[in-house]
Amino acid sequence: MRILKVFTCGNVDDGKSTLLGRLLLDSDSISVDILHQLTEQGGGVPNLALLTDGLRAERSMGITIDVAYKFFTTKHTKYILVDTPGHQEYTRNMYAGASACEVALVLIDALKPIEAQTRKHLEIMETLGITHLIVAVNKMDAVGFEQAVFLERQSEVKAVLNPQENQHLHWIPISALAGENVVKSTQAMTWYTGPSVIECLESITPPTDMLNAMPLLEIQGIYGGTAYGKLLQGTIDIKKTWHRGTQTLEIKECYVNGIPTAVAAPGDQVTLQVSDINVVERGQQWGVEAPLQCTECTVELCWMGAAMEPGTMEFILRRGTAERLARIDLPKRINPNDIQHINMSLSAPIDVLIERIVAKKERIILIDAQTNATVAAGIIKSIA
Amino acid sequence: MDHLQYLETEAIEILRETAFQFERPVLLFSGGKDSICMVHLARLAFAPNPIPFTLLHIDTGHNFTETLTFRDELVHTMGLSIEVRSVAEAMRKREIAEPKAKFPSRNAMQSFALLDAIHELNIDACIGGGRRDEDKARAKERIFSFRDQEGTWNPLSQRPEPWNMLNGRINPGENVRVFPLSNWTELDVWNYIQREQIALPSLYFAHERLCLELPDGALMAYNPYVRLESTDALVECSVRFRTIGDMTCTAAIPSRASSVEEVIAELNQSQISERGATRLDDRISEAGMEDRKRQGYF
Repeated sequence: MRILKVFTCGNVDDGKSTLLGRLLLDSDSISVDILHQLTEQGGGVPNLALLTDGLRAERSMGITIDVAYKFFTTKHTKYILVDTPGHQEYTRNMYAGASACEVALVLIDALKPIEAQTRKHLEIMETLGITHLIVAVNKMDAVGFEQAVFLERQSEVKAVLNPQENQHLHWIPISALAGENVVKSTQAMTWYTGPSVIECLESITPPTDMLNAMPLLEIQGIYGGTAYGKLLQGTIDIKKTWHRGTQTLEIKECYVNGIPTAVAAPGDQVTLQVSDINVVERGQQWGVEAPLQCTECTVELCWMGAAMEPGTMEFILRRGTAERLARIDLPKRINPNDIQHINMSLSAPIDVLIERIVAKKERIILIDAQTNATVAAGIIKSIA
Repeated sequence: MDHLQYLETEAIEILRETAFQFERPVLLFSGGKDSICMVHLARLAFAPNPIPFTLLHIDTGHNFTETLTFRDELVHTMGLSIEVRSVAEAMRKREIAEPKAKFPSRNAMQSFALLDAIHELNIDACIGGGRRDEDKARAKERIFSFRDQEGTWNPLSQRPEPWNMLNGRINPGENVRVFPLSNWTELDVWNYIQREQIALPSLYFAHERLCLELPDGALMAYNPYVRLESTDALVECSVRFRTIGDMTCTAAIPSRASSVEEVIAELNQSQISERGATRLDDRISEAGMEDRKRQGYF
């Protein structure tokens, strides 16, 4: 069984939580005791939104504030469903929830022309490099299942979407409330012959990991004279020599998930006995070709902390397992949920690959050194 | 990568981040299947070196004998170190009276013993077996879940974890709860147990047991702490436990599943959630878990 990570997004009240509830309900993934509770709360019909709105504050305000994680399985796939908030003030939670996902399930309200917040979410997906988009026009029941409305919303979304490389767009008219085209195919929209949301999800193959790329290893730490790390791309071949700057390293033994092996694949957690443990440190990247050293970069940031006035300031930057001090020149005020390009200089170089910058895989967070809060997340766009 | 391999790799990465970001992490061990899986994952994460975590058992004093026997054997055969802290002791210190209910559960009081242990042992990270599929408040919780000096969880100001980048930086006196099994479901855990052939306490498999049948049909193992009434009927039946907690608040389920394979088949048929089926104390209220977590619970 494979794993597929999917998030829902769209403006507030477009029915994201209801859609997730519907997916779970119609795929028989809700236990009878939970369903009984939802039905009581909904006064006879299950209140699907309450399935994911798990916090007191969310239930009392009737909105999603933070990300919820739900799971369901089909025969071939375990789905990790990430329900993200629609409100403008919680955009940062949407960004964080979406970041690790492969597929976006974008909800559009059939009743209203698309709004600023939906445009913002589409922009974030572009920033994050999410290329599989299912655009579901919801509440079709409320517009008499009219094809004209569906086409109108479709053209509005197309008008604001920037074409991306390898972009896969799927358009589906649905009613999350009535269960039309979510799991079960539609009865009410005979003009639509495409797949339901679940059929569409089942057909999606996410981008494959970078098996043929230049092998690159990130060090998590040293313990007991052994190096622990993650293979970011490529494969491990014990015969190869690894490089970083002018240093070289030989791998004597390799374990994946505790088992000795001669091969490892991208994403694997590896344990390595190496030729010289003294040159290895947490935060380094070693490649079959040496990575570049970067001390100046431009990052497209999503601001998650409190508003900051323009000026020069310092944060702790995390990139993978590497930590540096980052000095930032903020040209103008930055507010929570803003997305901005920011230049920063680092206290010491980090190892980077140009191909990973192009692939939007050089990701960072910024941490406030006093409060230790994570105040921003972003993607390195270029290095000096 | 298939789903179990993905979940295993994710859990191992989280366990390693815990080892490398904290000074004095502990692995919370209850003797239940989730914590047993975590010990297994910790072994894989650091092999060929030993597990760099001490186990911490918050002992309610109401454990099943089978759980304690299993715990002691596991610690012995794997050469682990363990600290055991008593809930009864933490209650005495605070002059909290023993619960008077028919099923006198000390479950909610575990937070006191845990907070005391964190303070006493200067713990900066507690690795727990909580899963997001267990409860809707847990479904909202981060993998590295920050706790302030009072041990409080504030669900509305959690640290974002984009791309699973885990920020474990804390100031003295604060701690982080770590949940490597966040994205696992009950069935994932069992499929993993099957794949890895992980040994479990016998309680998880069908056995004959003297039980008290409650009006709603729940079966409570007969135990010395329950306050029997004259109308109570004890029945001997074939049961197993879906979760292992206190004898006083964990219900058994009627079952004939005597192997891991049979348990998986049974769960595939089951219409009831894990907590709904077995935890008396979790039925209390919708926000029960959120409130308890705010006060320092696991």
